[in-house]
Parts: sequence; C-alpha cells; structure tokens
Amino acid sequence: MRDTAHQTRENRTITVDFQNTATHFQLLNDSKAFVDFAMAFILSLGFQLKHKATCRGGGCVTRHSHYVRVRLGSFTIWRIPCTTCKAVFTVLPHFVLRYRQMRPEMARNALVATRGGLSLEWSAEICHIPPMALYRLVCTFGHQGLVTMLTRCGLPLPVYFLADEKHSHCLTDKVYLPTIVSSRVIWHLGYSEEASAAAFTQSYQVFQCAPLDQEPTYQIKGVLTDGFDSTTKSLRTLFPGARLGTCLRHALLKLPKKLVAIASPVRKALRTQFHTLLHRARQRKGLRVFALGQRLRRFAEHVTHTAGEANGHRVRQRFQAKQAGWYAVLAIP
Amino acid sequence: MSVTSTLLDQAYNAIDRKLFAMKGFHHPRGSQAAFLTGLAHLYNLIPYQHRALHAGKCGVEVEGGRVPTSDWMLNLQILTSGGFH
Repeated sequence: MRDTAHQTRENRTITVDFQNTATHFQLLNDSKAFVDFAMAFILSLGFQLKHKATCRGGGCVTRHSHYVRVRLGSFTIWRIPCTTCKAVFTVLPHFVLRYRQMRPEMARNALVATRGGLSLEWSAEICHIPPMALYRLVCTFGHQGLVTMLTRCGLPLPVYFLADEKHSHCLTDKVYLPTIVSSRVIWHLGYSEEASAAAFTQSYQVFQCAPLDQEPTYQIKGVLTDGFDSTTKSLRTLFPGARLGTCLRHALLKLPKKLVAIASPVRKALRTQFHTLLHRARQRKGLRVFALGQRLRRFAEHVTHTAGEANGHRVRQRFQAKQAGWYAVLAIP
Repeated sequence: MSVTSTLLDQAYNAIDRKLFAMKGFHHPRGSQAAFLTGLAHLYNLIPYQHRALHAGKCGVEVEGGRVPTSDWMLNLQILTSGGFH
C-alpha cells in the first residue's frame, strides 16, 4: 500500500547577489568558481548556512545538481549539498524570485506601490501583473518569521515593547491583529478570530517562543498596553515577570468619555488639567509614582467639585482600575 | 519604557490601510497570517523617509540593525531566504 504521508522539505534556499546576469551565466560554466562565489557572498553577509541539526560541521559544500526553470526561459538553478550532513541548498541568483515567474524589478515596483498606500489591485494594475500574484508574493515573504529575520539583522531582542490588538474585517467577520512593536520595528503581527485572552495568548505565544532558540535566557522587563483586559491577561500569562504598563495617551483619550452631562468647555478644561498632571508626573526625576498617586486623588476631588458627584465617582473608579498600569510606566526610568 | 503607544499606532495605521483596501482578498481559508507577516516585513525593510534624520533608511537600520546590502528588495530576498541560519 502506498504511503500517503507527506514529508515537508525544509526551505534551504539561499539568495546570492551575482551583481549582474552576465557574471552568473559565466560562473555556471565553472563549478568550483560558482561554489566559491556563493560561499564568499555568504561569508560577506556574516550568515551561516542552515545545516541539519545533526551536522557537526567540518564539511564543505559542493556542486550537487541543477535543474532548468523553463518558465524563466530555460534558466539553470544550481543546488549545492553539504558533504557532511547532506543538506541541499538551492542557490537562487538575485534576479529570480523563489517559485515565481515575476522578475524582482517588477515585484519591487508593485511592493513599493502597495507599501505606499495603493490597493493590491491598483499596485498590480500599474505593474501589469495579476493582483493575486502580488498577494501570493507578499505571503511568500511572510513564511519567514519576523523574529528570525530581525535577529539576523543584528537587532537585540526587545526588553520593553508595546503590545496592542487592532481589529479588522475578514469579509463580514470581525478579526483581531495582536501586534508587538518596539520603536520603529514590528516584532509580531498575528491574526485571531476572537478577542478572548486564550486567543491572544495563542497569538503572542508565537513571539514568546521564537527567540528561545537564539537566546534561552531572554527575559522581558516591561510591556505597554492600552489596558484591554484580554491583552493584559494574555501577556500576564506569557510573561509573568514583566511589568505591565498602561498607555498614558489612552488615559488622556478616555477621560472625556467619563465626563457626561457637563458643558464642553468644562470637559475640555478638565482634560487639559489631566494632561498637565500626567506631563508633570513624567517630568519628575524621583518619587514619580508617589507624586502621581497624590495628584490623581486631588484631581478626582476636583472633578467631583467641578462636574458633580457622579462624574467624580466614575473618574475615581477609572483611576483605581488603571493606576497600577500608570505606576508601572512611571516606575521604570 | 515607552509611556504612550504612538509608535504602535503608526505601524498599525500603515497596515490597516492595506487591509481595508484588500477586503476582497480575504476568505476563511486564506493565508492571513503569512500575508500579515509579509506586510510586516515590508514595513520593517522598505525605507520610509526621504527627508529628515533617517533619510533612505528602513526601520531595521533606524533601530541600529544591519542590512546585508543597500538595496531593500535584495535585502528582502536574502533575509527571507530559508537557507540561512
């Protein structure tokens, strides 16, 4: 009986910059020069080849086989194996995309357009390619993990980061995108069909597990969230030792919603006072948490006096619910 | 530690516009996770400023990372290759 189990091959493609097509075609006639060129390029990057786990090193790569890509005008692609572990690496020149007929120049234009804000349809239209081809191209790049890619660039794993979930739509369904950002870099962008803590835990777990291969002792010190319950719970589960802070801008944005049945100028004035309060708390060099706690109490009293007992009660309740997160933010310099 | 989530909102705004514009591509058995990760790669690797302090630099470079070449498309090809460790 035929074995129907499908064995997935590990992707061991390496893209090599041959500067121009002429150099590549010239090197195809000389096996040794081709392998030397590819290895020199890899060394210049500072990367290592992904051998099999059992490989102890000491071997070298050699020419193994080649195959012809008919759709690219009978273009020859070489494969080089490690003589020790027999892992086979496919050498793709820079002017070919893996499993794609599309040329990189065309892909570049379409990706710039799509990154710049054009829809996939328009980006594909101006480059004379099908929109679905562009979608699949982006998916191809997405098969490589973000953490792997970023650590290859020498970026240290983030000790503090921002975590938030945004919602989008999949046809008529509401979906959520748990996101982790550190400064200008996205470290995780997940996809979840539910807003529950369990679903977010599952998504953020991808980020939690990814760095363990590279740095088993990796510890996160602090996470900033907007205070959404499911996010907070999931992060507390995954990173029990980390401080969970709450975004101060969200604190500012939410305050006017707690102040109801008062005149707009009064609401605006209270928001401005709260903004000043947070700003001054941040400016303090020492005892920031103590200063904030005292000022929050006084501000709640001020709201009660200015906007009535009901508003003051709501504001006080919100402060009690969120102040731990604000303290965490201000406690860390 | 950051005190506001402004940078996250900036990142999400860039991606949200794309998702909003491509609703027709969603389907229940689609490759949403791969597509989103691909978009995140583009966000990290395509230079995003033409003026100011970080002119011509991508997010990775701005944060102190090294990219293999000065060509972002080639960087994207190299860094998403599966054969490197």
